[in-house]
Amino acid sequence: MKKVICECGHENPYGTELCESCGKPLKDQGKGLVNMRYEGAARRSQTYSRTIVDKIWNFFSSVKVGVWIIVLTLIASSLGTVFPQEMFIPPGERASVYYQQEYGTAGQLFYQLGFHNLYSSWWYMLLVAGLATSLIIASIDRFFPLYRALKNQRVTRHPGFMKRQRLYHTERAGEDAHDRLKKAGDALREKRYRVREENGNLLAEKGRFSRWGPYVNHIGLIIFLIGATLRLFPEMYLDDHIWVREGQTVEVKGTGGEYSVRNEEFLIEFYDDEDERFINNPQQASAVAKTYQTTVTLFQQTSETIGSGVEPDEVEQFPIRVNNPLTFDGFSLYQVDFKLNELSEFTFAVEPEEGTDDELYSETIDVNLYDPETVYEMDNGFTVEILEYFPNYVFENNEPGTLNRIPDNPRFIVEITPPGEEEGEMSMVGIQVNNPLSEESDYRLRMVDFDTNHVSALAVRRDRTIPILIAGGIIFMIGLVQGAYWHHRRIWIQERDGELLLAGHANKNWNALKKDFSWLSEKTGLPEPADQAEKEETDGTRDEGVKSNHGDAGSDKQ
Amino acid sequence: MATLAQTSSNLLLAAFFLYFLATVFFAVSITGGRFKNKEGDEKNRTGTYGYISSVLAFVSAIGYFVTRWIAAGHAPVSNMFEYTTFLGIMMGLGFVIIYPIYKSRVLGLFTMPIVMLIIAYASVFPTEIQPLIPALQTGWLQIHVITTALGQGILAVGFAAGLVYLIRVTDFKAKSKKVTALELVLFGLLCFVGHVLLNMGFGAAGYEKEFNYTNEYGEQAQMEYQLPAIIGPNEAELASETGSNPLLLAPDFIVADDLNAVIWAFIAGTALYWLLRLVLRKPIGGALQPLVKGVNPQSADELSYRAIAIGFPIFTLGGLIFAMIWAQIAWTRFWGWDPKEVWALITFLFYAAYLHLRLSRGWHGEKSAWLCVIGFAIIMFNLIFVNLVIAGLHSYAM
Amino acid sequence: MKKRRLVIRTAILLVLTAALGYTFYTHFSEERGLVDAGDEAPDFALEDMEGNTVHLDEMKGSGVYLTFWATYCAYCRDKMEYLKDYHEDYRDKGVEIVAVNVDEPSVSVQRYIDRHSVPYANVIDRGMRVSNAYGVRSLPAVFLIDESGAVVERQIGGKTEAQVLEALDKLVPGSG
Repeated sequence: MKKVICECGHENPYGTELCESCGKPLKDQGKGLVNMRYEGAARRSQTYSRTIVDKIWNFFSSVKVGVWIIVLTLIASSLGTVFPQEMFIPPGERASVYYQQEYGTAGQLFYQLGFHNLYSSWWYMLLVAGLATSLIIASIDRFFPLYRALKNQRVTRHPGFMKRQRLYHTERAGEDAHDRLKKAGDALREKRYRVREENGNLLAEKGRFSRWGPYVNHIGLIIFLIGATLRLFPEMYLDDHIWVREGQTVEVKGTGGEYSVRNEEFLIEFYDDEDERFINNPQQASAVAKTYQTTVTLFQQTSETIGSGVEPDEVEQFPIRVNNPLTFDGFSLYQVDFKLNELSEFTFAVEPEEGTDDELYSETIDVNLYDPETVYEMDNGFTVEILEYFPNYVFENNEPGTLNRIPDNPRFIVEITPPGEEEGEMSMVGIQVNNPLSEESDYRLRMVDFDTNHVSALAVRRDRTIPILIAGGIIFMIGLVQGAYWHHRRIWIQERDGELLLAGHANKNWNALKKDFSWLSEKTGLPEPADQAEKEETDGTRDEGVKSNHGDAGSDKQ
Repeated sequence: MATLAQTSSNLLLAAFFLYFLATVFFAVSITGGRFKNKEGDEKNRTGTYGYISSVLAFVSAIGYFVTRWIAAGHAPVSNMFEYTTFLGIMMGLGFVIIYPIYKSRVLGLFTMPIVMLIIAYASVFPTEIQPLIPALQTGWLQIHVITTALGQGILAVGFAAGLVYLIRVTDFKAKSKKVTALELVLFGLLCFVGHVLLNMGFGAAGYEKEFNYTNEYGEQAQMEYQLPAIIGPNEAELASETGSNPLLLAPDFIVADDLNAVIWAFIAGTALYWLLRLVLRKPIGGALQPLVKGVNPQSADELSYRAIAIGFPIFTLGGLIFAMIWAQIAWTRFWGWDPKEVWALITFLFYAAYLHLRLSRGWHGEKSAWLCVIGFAIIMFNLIFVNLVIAGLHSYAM
Repeated sequence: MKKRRLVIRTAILLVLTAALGYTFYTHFSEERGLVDAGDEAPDFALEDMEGNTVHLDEMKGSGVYLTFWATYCAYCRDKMEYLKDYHEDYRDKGVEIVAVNVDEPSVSVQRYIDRHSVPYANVIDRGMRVSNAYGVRSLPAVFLIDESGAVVERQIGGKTEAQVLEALDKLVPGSG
């Protein structure tokens, strides 16, 4: 590849705009300020584009493309918030009808375009993938040339470079120029500049590491995106939930049967209307929940075979609250939902079909609604046999049945056999239902009491990507702060052919650099350089002038 | 306790007037400068007074924050009033931080009224202390919200500086798209002013109308209107004894009283705008232009960029990273594509694009200033529209 | 120099494409069950309705048609009717049918089995431990387990009589 040899003798890669060593502008001989972006180093993308690989590479290397991807992602993301995503529509609603029904034609269009699941659609994921690719390639393409350029920069710069810096001044060097330079070096060291001197020329530099900020934060972002991608794999990310009744022990899904929890108590607390903090509040404080808490006991099973009969070990007891999950062995249990007062037990007594019988009422049976017995023998000689039990009764296709196994609407078909009788009487019993099924009946069951339980829903999570995400987040923030809160400043002072040349460059915050110059001037009597960008501005026509001058200044970046 | 809450309100009121005072000082320091050109010191001193007022206003506002925190038992950033007020305070803080670096009095003249506007806008929302639902009872939420507000406040200072830049460089004598666009931005700000004035007016008059309506879950509910109803809620019936029926009814997924308030804000904004134009006999931006004559456009440009560069990492930390930590603890996952989260991401992406365009593609000056304006619009959109209009489930403090 | 650059670029692009391709493939292809074809069937030992222990490990040597069901699942009821008819034939060919009920009340299950005279072994999965181990999320779910104890196929959803027969045929020892 053709190298560009500068008059100072340094060999520059093809495409270099400013000599890496002395800074002489190699490309354009024009006027105006030099473009200091990437130190005028040759970006690799711009120099090779023969093969298809190079073309793809160059496409992703372009900041223009990168910004387009950002903007497209931004627009796509906003489209997804026009109507709620499918995961936020009320449970049980079918997306295919819900959107049209709720939001009309626009809603239907939203659904048909697949926007109801926008963030997991292939094209949204492709956009994010494009963003990641662009991040990686653009960073590689810029970091190495910039690193080279900053490493190779020489103290002595070409006058053409100095002249076309934004802060520049020249005058005839006085006799004491040499001393002033020396003094300037010491003064700048005092300001914590790194000062290098060479043949009576001086380069003072400060905050170079801030130029690496963008690359550091890009690395952080890439790590973060890798972590986020890994969540798509089930081994890395588990997302499940369990419902646990008070008193019930339920296996924690995803633990392979190793862990189970028992719900000791579910508690819901509301704010107090008397609380004087909220007295002026039109909304009643007692309508707002203060705490949701499930006290659980965690058990660990040591045996592998299910049903082996080995008793699990108790590990710990823990109050799980919103914002206070129980974490063990990489798993976390969160309080997410609850159901109050689910039926758990019916208490029955036998009563005569007509009239009352106080003696009979003193004898009762407790029927567990989760797993009732088949036959209940009562002390007064009655036998109650459960013929059928439907925890959540429905009548479908001319047949009684159950919707599921949750006792929301329990129904029993029972046979009551009075003492000494052979034949029993059948009846159907449930909430506010008591129908005799036999032709003749003398007795029936009467519900005298019932019991309920609270049920708590716990989300089960295991996210093995968290450490990666944390690492990515921290690196990203470090890079961001490094690039934003520090800035790279350089001051060049030269004495050349009886002339004193001063130039300064900052990648941002010129204000601070100018202050450093005026401080230097006070200390050493050196002149303060003028801001050439400002001068040009007042000279040029106002509107257009502002834009083009700024463009030329290319003062910032990386 | 009630008295502490009262103290808190008084401190906020004091802060508001101190911000007003600061505005006056900065205005005098700029316009008065021309009359007292011979006494250069005096001019400088009013600027300093303005800065001192803004610092005192900030101190007073922090007094409000602390006392309300003590009174409520939780950091006062948990509803629209509290959050919006805090955003205003943080914008004030952003100014307090940035002013010493650049000593731009014009920035004060533009920032202080915007701070006042945000705080006044906040006070339209219910100001009572509300109990916290369990998901909000964590230090992480408060850290998240406080950091986000600080970031947004500093970004808002960037907007003010961008606005200064645009008013400074735009030629208002000829008609152009730029003038129209800039007038639109100022019109937007006037809509906020109109909204605040209307609500204060009708509030003082004790206006209140109640409607029975059917909500998005198909249930009967009541809605209270503080402004006359142009748009009524879904299947509305007037429950109050007097008052007229709304002209139109909104579908159930829109929060109708908020939409109604938005429409009123536009009406009031339009009225204010044309009133001002009639009085000034030129575009409002053109009327403001003499105030910013003394500003060096390049300094304004750099100032706005500085503000964005300082605000962006803080916003990212608060609005995304701390938000993720909180979401992981409270909602079991660090990211859930909830509209609020998505709009925080959009804000982040937007400012990331801004930085790339500026740093790598040389978008300085005017383009950059416009981006600052759009960025602020996104922040306000996230605050207002996403909280209030994208109905139900994910409104603030959910 | 130029060649090296091309190699590096190609390598980076290939790694990126491969990583993205794999991610997209896993994300958009049909979800693999917790236990699926090729996996070893998790062992369990539970008492059936008659009080006999059903221990999966001890059934090695026979094919096992492991079906998860509930009384409220219509497709499960259809499937049960087919299985009733073929149960004896296939037992002789070395195929066992094991039905696992998903934690319904014993009375309901017992009455149902009696009413429909279900002839093969039925266990109740108290605490859903077997269902969890097999990753059962919807019913009916069937696991075809060969004579060595490995899962041949995972079948979710309703099946026709022909499909059930086909599945049973697959399980005859020595057939596959």
